[in-house]
Amino acid sequence: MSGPDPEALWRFLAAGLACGTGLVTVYALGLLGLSATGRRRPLGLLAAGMCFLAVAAGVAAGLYVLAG
Amino acid sequence: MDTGPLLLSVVVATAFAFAFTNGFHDTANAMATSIATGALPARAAVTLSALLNFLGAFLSLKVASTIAQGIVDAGAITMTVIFAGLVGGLLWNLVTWYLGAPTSSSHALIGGVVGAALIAAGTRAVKVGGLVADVLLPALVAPLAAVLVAGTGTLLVYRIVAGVSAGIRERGLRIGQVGAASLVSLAHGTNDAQNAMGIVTLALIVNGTLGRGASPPVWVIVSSAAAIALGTYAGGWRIIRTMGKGLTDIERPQGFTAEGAAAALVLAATQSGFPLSTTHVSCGSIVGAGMGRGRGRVRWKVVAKIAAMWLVTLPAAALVGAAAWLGARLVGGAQGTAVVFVGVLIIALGIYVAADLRPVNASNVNAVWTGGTPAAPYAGTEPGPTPGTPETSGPGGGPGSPPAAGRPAP
Repeated sequence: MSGPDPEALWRFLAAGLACGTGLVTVYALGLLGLSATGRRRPLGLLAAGMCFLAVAAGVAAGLYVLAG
Repeated sequence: MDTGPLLLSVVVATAFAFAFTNGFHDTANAMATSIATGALPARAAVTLSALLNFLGAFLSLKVASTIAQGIVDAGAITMTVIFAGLVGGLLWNLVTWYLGAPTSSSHALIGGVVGAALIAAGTRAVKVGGLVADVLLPALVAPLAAVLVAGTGTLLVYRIVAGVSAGIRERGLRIGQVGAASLVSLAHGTNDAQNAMGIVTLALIVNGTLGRGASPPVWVIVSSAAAIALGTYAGGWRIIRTMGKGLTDIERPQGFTAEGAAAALVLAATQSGFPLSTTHVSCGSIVGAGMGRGRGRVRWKVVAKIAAMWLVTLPAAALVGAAAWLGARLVGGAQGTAVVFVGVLIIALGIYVAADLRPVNASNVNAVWTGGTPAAPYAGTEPGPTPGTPETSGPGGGPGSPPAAGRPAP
């Protein structure tokens, strides 16, 4: 009788928790950067760009995984 | 008379019919929150999801031959078992759609095949370890992980976007939500279209049309993709309503975190080889997003009813699968499967007619939740969250719902 694969379960939980919580938080931080005004505006835009780039990389990794 | 082609035709037709029900049953997984929050108009949402499901079906074929593999002994798989398994999955999908209950189509299919194999070949045909590893454990872990991920995400996102200007917040979260929902749709097409592909390919192998270990032919891939995409386009509005309005009252940030969590978990499962159900993850994500705003925001009676449906999915589909196998066996031969197929069509028509008496569609899917099927023609979107709204029945438009006062406006 074969049992559950603990390795697959551990990887699923680790990747799911990190990406599921991490990417939405980073995206929200990007929105916060976009709404910066005044002297903080350039820094906000830069931070937003980096956040969205990280999210885009996550999406690209997801598509890569799907295509297998 | 050679009845092989008739048997094969019936099995293939049933497989594509199953794929169609799989599509409309699971539209909600990706699009329920987008429709509920108004991120996308209802019709646009199902159209986008259908297109992405179609595209997703072509992304990968690596699991196309693995349906029920590791769960049912390969020696027990015959054409009649495949057919009866499909009937079990298909009818359970239709019943749960009528009830508005988001249940796993893959689990229904596995249940149907298990039931048919059990009655055809006895208990030795079913591998209990495979059933635990591939069905029961993921059904327990996936929704809990989704609750945790979406709940944590919701807590964080609400705090962060509190400092974001309203215009950027609404537009940004809307784009994020639709993007994440699109990923879920794409992943659903990749994973679930392969149920039909795998089973048609298996039928072709059992029939001797294809050699052992053959890949799905192009016509099987295209037909499976088209069937699931058409089903997705049909909408499955009853389930969209339960998930979008019944579990909790979803605000834009919650829709974003729920879809983000679902997309991440489905992709993580694909990457790690953990066989979860998109439906379980999506439901768990919505509940988690509701809990992120306080436990009182979730309608726990609806959650409990859905959980109960998850528990009975496997045995119920197995019972139907076993009954279909017995029915086909009683008549005998290809004629037996043809007779059962006609019976299934009649039952399906009956369920459709019953559902049409209390319709849920694009025009009333977002009506205020009162326990299932909208009680009156839909007049507009719900003005805001109404936490704690008591539910009188559910999870969807089942027989216990209040009577419809009239058909919704077209």
